[in-house]
Amino acid sequence: MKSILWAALALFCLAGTAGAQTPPTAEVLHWWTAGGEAKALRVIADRFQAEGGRWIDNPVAGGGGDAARTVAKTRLVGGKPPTMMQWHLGLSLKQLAEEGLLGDVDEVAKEGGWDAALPALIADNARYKGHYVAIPVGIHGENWLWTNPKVLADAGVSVPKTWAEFDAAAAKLKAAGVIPLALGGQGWQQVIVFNAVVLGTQGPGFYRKALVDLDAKALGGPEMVAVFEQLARIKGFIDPGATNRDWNEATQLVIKGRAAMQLMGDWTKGEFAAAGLQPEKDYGCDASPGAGQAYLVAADALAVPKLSDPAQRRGQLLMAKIAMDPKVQRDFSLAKGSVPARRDVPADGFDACSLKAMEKVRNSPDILPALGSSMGVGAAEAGAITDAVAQFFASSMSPTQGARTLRDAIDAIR
Amino acid sequence: MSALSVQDIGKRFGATPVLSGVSLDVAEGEFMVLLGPSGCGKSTLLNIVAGLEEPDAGRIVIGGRDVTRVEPRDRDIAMVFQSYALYPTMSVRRNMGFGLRMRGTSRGETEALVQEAARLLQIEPLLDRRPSQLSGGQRQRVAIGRAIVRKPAVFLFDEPLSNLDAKLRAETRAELRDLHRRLAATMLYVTHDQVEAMTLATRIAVMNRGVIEQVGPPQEIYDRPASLFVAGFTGSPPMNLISGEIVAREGQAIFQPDGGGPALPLPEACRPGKIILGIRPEDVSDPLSLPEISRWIPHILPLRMEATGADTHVTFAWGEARITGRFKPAVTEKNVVPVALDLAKLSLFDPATGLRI
Amino acid sequence: MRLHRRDHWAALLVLVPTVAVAGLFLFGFALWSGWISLTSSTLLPRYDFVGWLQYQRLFAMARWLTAYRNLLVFGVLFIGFSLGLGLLLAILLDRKIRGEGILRTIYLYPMAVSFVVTGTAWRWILDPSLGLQETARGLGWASFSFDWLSDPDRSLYTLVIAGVWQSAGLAMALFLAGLRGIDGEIVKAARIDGAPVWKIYAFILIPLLKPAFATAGILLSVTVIRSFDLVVVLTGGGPGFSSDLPSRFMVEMAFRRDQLGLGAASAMVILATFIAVITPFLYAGRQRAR
Repeated sequence: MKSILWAALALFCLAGTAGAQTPPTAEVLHWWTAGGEAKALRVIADRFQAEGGRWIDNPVAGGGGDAARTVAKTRLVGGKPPTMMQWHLGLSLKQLAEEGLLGDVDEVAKEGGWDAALPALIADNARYKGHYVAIPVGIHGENWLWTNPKVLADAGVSVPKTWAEFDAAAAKLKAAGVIPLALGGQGWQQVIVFNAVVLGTQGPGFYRKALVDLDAKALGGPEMVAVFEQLARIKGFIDPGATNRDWNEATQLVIKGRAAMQLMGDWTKGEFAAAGLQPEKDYGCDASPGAGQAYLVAADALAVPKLSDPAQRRGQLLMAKIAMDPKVQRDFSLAKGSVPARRDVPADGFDACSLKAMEKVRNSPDILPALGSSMGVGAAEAGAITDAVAQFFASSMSPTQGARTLRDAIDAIR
Repeated sequence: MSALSVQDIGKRFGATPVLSGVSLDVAEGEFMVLLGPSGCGKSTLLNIVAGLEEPDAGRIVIGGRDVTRVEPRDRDIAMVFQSYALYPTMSVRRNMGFGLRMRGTSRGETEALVQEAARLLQIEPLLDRRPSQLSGGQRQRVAIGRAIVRKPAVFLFDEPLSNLDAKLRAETRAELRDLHRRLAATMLYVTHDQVEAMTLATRIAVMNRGVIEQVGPPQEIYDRPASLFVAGFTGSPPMNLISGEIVAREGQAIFQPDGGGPALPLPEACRPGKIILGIRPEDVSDPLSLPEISRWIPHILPLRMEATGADTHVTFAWGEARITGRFKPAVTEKNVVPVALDLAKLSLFDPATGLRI
Repeated sequence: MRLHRRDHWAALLVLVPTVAVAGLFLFGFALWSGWISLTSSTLLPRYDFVGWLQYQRLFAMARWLTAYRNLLVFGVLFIGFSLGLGLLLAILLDRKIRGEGILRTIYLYPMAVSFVVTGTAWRWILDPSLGLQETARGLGWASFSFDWLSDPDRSLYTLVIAGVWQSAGLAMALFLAGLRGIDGEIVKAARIDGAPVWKIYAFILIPLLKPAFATAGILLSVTVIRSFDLVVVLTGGGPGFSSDLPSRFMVEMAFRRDQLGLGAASAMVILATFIAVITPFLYAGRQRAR
């Protein structure tokens, strides 16, 4: 709260002295406060200041970004927007644009050739009616299978490439006395498994129809029942202590060898790194079973509020240039564990897992929005799907009932 | 057989002795008052009789039955408390009937007994009220009603009048006396107020520092206090206490107060030595109001006068002692001399033991 | 006594800031939430009137119905057990047992801990693969089973256990203070009247604790409404949303799922429920003088 006051005060002073001499100024509202995230943002901030900009840091921690988003919304609606604000690409960004609250950085985007540099999905979601209303800084992927190679080897199995292989491997692991799949029984973690199953068993086309377009036929069809059949099998491969377990506690199970595999996003790497483990040596990072080159992503971005102060406007433009600079994108992603949004960033310095991800981002035709990313469906719809999946995991309903619950939940929200 | 017998009761709170070797017999139908200053142990003794506290030594016998280890409910007693201790959430009717109901008396019989007691105390119109809706005097009556409704062998009163104003206290005192007569019940009554004790008691037990100093009818306590403490605690103003020495002179015992002053001829023979002489203020007065045969007129001078309306208290200097006399209200500085002492009413105390000689 | 006119104005003047702040932040924002609940607001507030639509949607959602039913079940059990256990502890301490000071501190201690800590600790205790169950099995009791945390039909009761553990001490402190405030002669009178100990408590002392019951009831009701953090850390509303509570539902809808109108509607239902529950307690509290 205090920091907001200071920022507001700072802005007030700036407004008074605004003139030709005022340096480009950026008050940045964000919730990148934890270790790697904070370091990543520092990369941008340092460069911004090095180029003569004036950086006003305004972190709002709490609630996994809830607090920051609420502050941001309040200030946008109240007519006192920050210069830049952390936001996810996707529908809620477009909603802000629709309300006329966002400006654009088209001049920088055109000059920098953003359209060509960004994957189509990312570019589409950073634009509203053809204008760039946000600066994409990094891409996170969700459908990763993390494995403990020693545990797999002890049970005589290799990393499963399909869900059928997964079932077979899991059964062997279970017989060997380890937890086949480490899972936290929280809706958002369960839905990551669900997404991976939809993608891996029915393919990218079906995923798009069902979980991006919310096609009624796809949601209610036999394919969805098959998805829930696979989920039902997975329920047999998790342990009873999963309830409300945090994702990193699940990762710890894999690290300690009590569990063999975990389906989770690329941020899991940080947990392995903190334990001093090396990718592709001490732990495996592979695409989720059956996904192939398809990659479910969410994007970090800085949204561009509409404002009138010329110093801040110059700040926005300078920021757009810096944040999309290949070198900055590279350093940012190295610190944060994501991969650059740009496809033309040199790959040196990235680890094995990130290289796999960058390969997909550059060449895969199937860069798809993760369900929770807001690039496919809105938060309300994603929430309804999450509830339905969580309900299936918590109950003993049949796959048919599970599929029906999902369809009903979507119908109720429409 | 006495209705209540307290036998050699001892009680300590931690290392502090509160009662030591207290014995007391209360006869059937007697109104016994335990009189003493606060902290003398009288309430503790009452609680021990009630069974609310356990004695460290001694026995309590009620109606010939040793009840020392018996629960309060089985002692056949009732108690009236200083704060009245009415149950705030119950009506007057339920308050009075509670003890009966707890003993398994039927609803109908309880109601009849409550009605009877309420009639006796004239509180029938109050039966359906809550204690909070009653005045202090009314609460007091209800508390008494709750006690008499059970017709116990012994009534215990713990300073029941001290929360009332002076006028109400006098009225209630009269009613209590009346009630005692009508019920012919055995009562043990604790107070620090000597007026209550004098007016109510058939006998008074004066307590001090955990022991009973004197037991006797009120007049005897007043006229012949057994100790300096009793002498000083009773009467208003209290008994004059003058230290001095007894000397034999010409075959007669003479009292010589310390610091000089007229020597007093004692009516009876006495062993010479240090002594404390006690005399009530009413026995120090105008010579005409005292019996001629026993009066003695010393030459002492008044120091100050204090008019109370009913009479006037005059303080004289007698040697280094001060002695207060009680005069008719019309008295003036001029006609307080000569003053007379009634030698028939003297009390003599041993200064070493504080006991009456 | 009549106040002097000038004093009267001075008193009013002193009260104005408090009343204004309370008025704006409590009633003002409550009214605003009520208004939002009648609009189609999603990510941002939108001031179009859509009638009871959000309420209809709300009561058509399985998750809300579960959360709301949980609120009632949790509220009744939590308040009931907290009051009951608190009263029992207070009575035991009131019997002047040895070491009262230490025991009182121990019972009150959980109150000093936030629900986040309580919830986390109980999650580990109740985790079937770490806590009680595993310990009992480790000690050789192989058939011992206590997996309420992962049982959708029972997970709600784990919230009750943790909540009562935390709050019973508060009830105890209030009841103990109440018992200590009662004139000791009343107990003596009842003993002489022949009432056994349990009847003294049942008929005389506990009825006298009505104000303490009212206070404890209000405080515990507030705890029920704001037990958001306990749910989040202990069960996360799970398994599924079997142990969800309306406060969590509200935060989820209004701030995570961009459904401000729906969230506001749920907030209004919570408020209405709270008022309905707390009114009898307030009424009981006002009667204390009688």
